[in-house]
Amino acid sequence: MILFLDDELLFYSKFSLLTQAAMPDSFSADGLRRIHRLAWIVRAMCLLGVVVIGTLPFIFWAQPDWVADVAAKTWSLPLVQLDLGSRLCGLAASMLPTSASLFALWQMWALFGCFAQGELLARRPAQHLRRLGLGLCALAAAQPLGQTFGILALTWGNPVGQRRLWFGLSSDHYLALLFGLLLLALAQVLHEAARVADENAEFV
Amino acid sequence: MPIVVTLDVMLARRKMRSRELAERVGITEANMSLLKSGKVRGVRFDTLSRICEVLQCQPGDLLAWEPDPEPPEET
Repeated sequence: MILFLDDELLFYSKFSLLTQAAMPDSFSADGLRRIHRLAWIVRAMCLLGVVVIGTLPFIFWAQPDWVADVAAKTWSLPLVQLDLGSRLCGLAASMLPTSASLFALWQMWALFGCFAQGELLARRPAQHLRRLGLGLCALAAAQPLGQTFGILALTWGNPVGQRRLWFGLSSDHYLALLFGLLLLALAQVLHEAARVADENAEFV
Repeated sequence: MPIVVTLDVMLARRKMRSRELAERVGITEANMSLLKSGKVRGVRFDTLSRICEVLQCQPGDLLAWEPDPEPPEET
């Protein structure tokens, strides 16, 4: 069968093509070098992020003075309970956004790992980008919820009437959600691009 | 697919090895091997043109159409 497609004559053989590497050879060496360099920078930042975000809640909730200071200045709480149980509950509450952040960082680490290996228009990075988008959407929901539960944990032991149920949304949460949705759309685009690249690789 | 790639016949006529053809056409040996064995979905005009230029032949010298064997009639 002979097909005319734009200015190309394509002829199909009687066998289907064996699966080839997803990496098309049409990327410039300079572009690949830049992506490789950027990938290592981002991965280093991810590692730093994991260390800071993963340890900060433990350090914060371990120090009653710090907790009291933040509760008074940031959350405007005049009376809080700083016993071990309340702080442990607060730590558990802050694990909600922390785990979403760590998941997003893990996906970012994996995504840029693919990029560092030259795997650009492929299904694997598209999958990591999608999960990163989901992680950011989850973070947008987990951040205000974490704060709500954290404040509740600190005021649960207060006398009746001085307990606080507080819920707040900020532009940060909105932006995280918007960015997450953007990444979900881009992941779908990347998935389609990977499919086209696969198809293109089957032509010599 | 009834299209058969007859590149190996033309290579034999020109007494050229596929490695040399791949180098002169500017594609990898692996891709040339896939093309020779017909295990590709298609060939770009550009590649076809360069092969014809190197082998001094026409596209028709590299391709042949062979009808598929007819399926056995049901009894």
